Amino acid sequence: MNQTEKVIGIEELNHRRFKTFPFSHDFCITCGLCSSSCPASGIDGFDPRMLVRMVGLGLEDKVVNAKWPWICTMCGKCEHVCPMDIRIPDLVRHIRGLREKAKIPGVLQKGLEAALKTGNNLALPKEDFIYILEDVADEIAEEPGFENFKVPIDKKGANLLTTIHNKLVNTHTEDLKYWWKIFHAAKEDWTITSENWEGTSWGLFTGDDEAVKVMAGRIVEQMKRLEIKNLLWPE
Amino acid sequence: MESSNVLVIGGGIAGLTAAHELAKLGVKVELVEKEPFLGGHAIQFTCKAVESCAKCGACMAEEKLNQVVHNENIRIHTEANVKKISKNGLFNYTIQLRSTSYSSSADAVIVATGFDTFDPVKKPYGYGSFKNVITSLDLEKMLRRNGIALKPSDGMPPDKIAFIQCVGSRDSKLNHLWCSKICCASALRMAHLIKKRKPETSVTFFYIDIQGSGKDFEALYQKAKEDFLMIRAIPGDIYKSGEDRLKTTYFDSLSKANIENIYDMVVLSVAMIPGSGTKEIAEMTGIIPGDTGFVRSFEKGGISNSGGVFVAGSAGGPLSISESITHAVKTAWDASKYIKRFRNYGG
Amino acid sequence: MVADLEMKTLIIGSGPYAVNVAKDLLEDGNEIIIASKGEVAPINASETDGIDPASILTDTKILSCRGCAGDFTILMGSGGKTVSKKISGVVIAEEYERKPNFSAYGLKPAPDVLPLSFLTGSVIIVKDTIKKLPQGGKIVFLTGLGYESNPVTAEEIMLASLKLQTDFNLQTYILTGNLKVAGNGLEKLYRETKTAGTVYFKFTNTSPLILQDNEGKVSIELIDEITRLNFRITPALTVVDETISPSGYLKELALVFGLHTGADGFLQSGNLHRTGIYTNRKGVFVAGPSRSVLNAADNITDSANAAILTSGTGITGIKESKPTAEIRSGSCIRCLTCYRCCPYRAIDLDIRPSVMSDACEGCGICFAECPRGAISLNLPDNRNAADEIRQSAGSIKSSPLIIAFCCSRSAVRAKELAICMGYSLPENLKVVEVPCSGYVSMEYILSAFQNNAEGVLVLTCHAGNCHSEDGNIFARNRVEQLKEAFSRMNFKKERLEINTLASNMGYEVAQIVCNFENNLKALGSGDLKKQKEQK
Repeated sequence: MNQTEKVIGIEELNHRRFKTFPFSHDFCITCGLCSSSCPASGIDGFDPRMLVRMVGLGLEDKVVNAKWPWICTMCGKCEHVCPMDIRIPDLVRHIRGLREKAKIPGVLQKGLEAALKTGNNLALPKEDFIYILEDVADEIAEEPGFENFKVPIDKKGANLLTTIHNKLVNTHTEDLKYWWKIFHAAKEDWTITSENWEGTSWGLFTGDDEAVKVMAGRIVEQMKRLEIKNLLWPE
Repeated sequence: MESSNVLVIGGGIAGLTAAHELAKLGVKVELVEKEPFLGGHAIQFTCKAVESCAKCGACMAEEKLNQVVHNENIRIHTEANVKKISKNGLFNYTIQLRSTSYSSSADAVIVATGFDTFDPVKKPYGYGSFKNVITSLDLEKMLRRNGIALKPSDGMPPDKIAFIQCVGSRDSKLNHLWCSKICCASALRMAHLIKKRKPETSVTFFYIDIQGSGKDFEALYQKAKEDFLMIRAIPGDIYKSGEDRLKTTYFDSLSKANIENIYDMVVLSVAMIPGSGTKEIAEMTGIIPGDTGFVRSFEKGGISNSGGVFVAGSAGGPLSISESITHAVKTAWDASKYIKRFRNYGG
Repeated sequence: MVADLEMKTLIIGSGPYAVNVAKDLLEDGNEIIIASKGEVAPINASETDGIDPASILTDTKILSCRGCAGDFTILMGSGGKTVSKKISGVVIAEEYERKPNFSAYGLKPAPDVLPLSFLTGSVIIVKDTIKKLPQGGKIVFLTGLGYESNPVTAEEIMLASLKLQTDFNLQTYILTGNLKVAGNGLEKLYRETKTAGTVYFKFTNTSPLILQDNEGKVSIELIDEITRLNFRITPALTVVDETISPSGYLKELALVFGLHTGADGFLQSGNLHRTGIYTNRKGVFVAGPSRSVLNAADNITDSANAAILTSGTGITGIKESKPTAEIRSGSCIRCLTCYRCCPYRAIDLDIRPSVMSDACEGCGICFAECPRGAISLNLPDNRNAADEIRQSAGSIKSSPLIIAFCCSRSAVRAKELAICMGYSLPENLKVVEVPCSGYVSMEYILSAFQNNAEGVLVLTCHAGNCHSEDGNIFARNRVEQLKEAFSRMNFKKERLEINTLASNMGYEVAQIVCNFENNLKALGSGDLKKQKEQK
């Protein structure tokens, strides 16, 4: 017995705390296959088997405040090898969603809040957004073969609506050119919306299902508004 | 009263035992086996005695074989399949032999179609790609043939061997939610045998829960803990290492790190799963398999509805050889009891 | 052979199991007697309905058993009197003794520290105890810590735990080493208990620290090996597992009936030649709780099968014809060696011992052990061992003559297998096949050397696998005695070797005989007396 370690009284735990989670975690037979296959095992002193065990015991504080659920890339290797089909990546995501919003690491929460408030992670105003798009379109139009290139914005009745990842109108504007040229060459009837154009949905990473619903809902709304049947969501 | 007849489907250890037991009671037996040889899996297993009999039962296959082959009450057909069974009081059946077919009738039927071993090719261990990743059945055959473990790649004895338990067992994803019961003791015994014959061999044993109980087993397990590295975790992928070696990692909860190890040979203790033959015969006789796919006697359905169809051995679920023998002996007695009743009350 | 057998089966046991066996036998039309050491105590009195009370003998001990299957004469001591009964078959059906493992866990029994049978027993007592537990009370099960548990115990604990979780809404913990799920449906049950809320702690490299204060209250401190966190559990109820042991009476019964026992005291030694409810003595069967640690279903099956086996051909069987031993009464000095060493209890004692041919399996132990050579036993197929040894003398070739006495069950088959597998054997190997290595007397071994064998091998079954239980042990003792004698003479003791084998050891038998041949060649022939020339 390691005397310097704190002893937890079992009555302090509510084993049924996570009972309603639909991830089959109480099927775990502690075989360790997940941990043996996980690329993030051991980082920060955690591994998937340990996480599942903590969830099973009801150690809420330990899992919600741990760094590891945010280090996990949700690659799914663990679930793939798990003989009990425990949905560990889903479990990780759900644990992320339990954390106090202010304690969510990095820019995830900030970006998400901006997106919920303004329609995009950068809180980029509409005019600036359109300006950037048209600027890139102009550059394309200078290239041979793309003389009459125009970027269609808010085109009603178009065949394809595409979202925009915020980095493409921030640090990676050049990348827009590749697929816009393909659209042009393929004579695709496509469009971008001037509002709620954000392609990322960081509620996916923060375990915030409500936020994911809102973000997806806005895109659907746009499609209804512009009467567009097909969505390209390259995230 | 003319003597009764029983059709025994399957010539493995259970089928042979049931046949012999019935013959001892004066019953005439027709034994049908689909392979060209008798003895099923058991006859391919190695003797695992180190200091004294390991009670694995492998030698019993030879014993039973000897008893059956020389018994005038038992008629044997190998390379034969039961093509049709119907019931009209008696069970009328047709057997397909190599070039002919043959029909007869029996008072009762014993299904002793045994098991298959799980094919681990889809597991991330490289079975089928890496020559030196073998199954427990491969190891049994190898030890029986050569007396020592030899790498399939170059025929040399391995210095470092890893056993990975529960491959395909205790696996809800595969719908194999059962423990195959025999693999822990079996693998430990084979490991002891290998080490006895080549003491410099190093053995690592990856497991979830070691199965086995009783005084004999306690001694075996104690020795295993002294002689082998016992690790309570199942490793992930196996990668090639160097020319001919195998690398695998497992997570150690104490040091909280993934530990890499290199082996010359890896043995996968594969699950016992319902045999393909079982399904076919079950359909014919109406003994409907449970959700595991294994079958039981006294199931209602088809021609087994009023009884007379019995299951012997591992067709009913994972069993050790000695358990299969005991089970088959009991099945024979159940069948003989049924026949007695059936005859007494008319049929 | 006893014609028109009066089938009367003796059931030995005092608990509900013996009663169940009796009922199964009666249902099958058998006549029975129950002999109980004390009272007959079924689960409730109505259980003995349908059994003629005259056939239940209480306060009865078995004193002796003479005869063979179908024709036993059993002496019983009942209430000061000695009673003799003619019995066709015996079924030993004593109950388990369940010994709670309190001391294994450092605990003493207390109101809150109970053995497992408490929870698997009467429903009313259990409900009361459970109702008295405080709200939110935890129940801890201890099993298989420091020693290996077993699937029967695991099933009982998991079922109890499941019931406590679902019916009584109590939190249960199971603390164990290796969880035993090697039984039908146990993996599924394991899952069910976890879904119901049972928490398992499994220990590999650590052990829980189990403490009990003066009032009997338990507190447990443990390391969870997966998370490496320390926990303390203060259970409202601690349930300790039990070692499921054979009845103490079995030891006595083993002596009376001449039965082999296992290391754990049950009346089967684990010898693979005895499966189902068979023992080493034909006509004497051992069922359920007297045979091994079994679950309820297996115990029931044993009982049902006792019914089948104790009728008609189950007792006498279709006897496979084999030679049986015969005692020449003129030479017999009544030393009772044969009586004492027969593993099948086939020797009957009257004025002189005689062999009951129905029970004799022709192993030859008595033949080889008789100090007067008063017992004869032919080999199957009219073979004669002495002749075969003599005949090998005429076949001298360039390599040393090896005479190998091979048990027909193991060594002979192994040799055939070796040939099938393509392993080469010494060209001057002469096999004398014997029904059991117990047949190989010192005289035969010496005769082999006298007939020009340069080396003699005795190949037996592995210890624990001999059909005659001890035939191989007898053989080993004789070989060791001879080797000891050789070492004091000018005769190399390496010329005589004994090895154990199984029938599927083709590679090994080839190794053994080839190595032996090489050793013999290295020994030279200095200590061999040149025999008379080839005729």
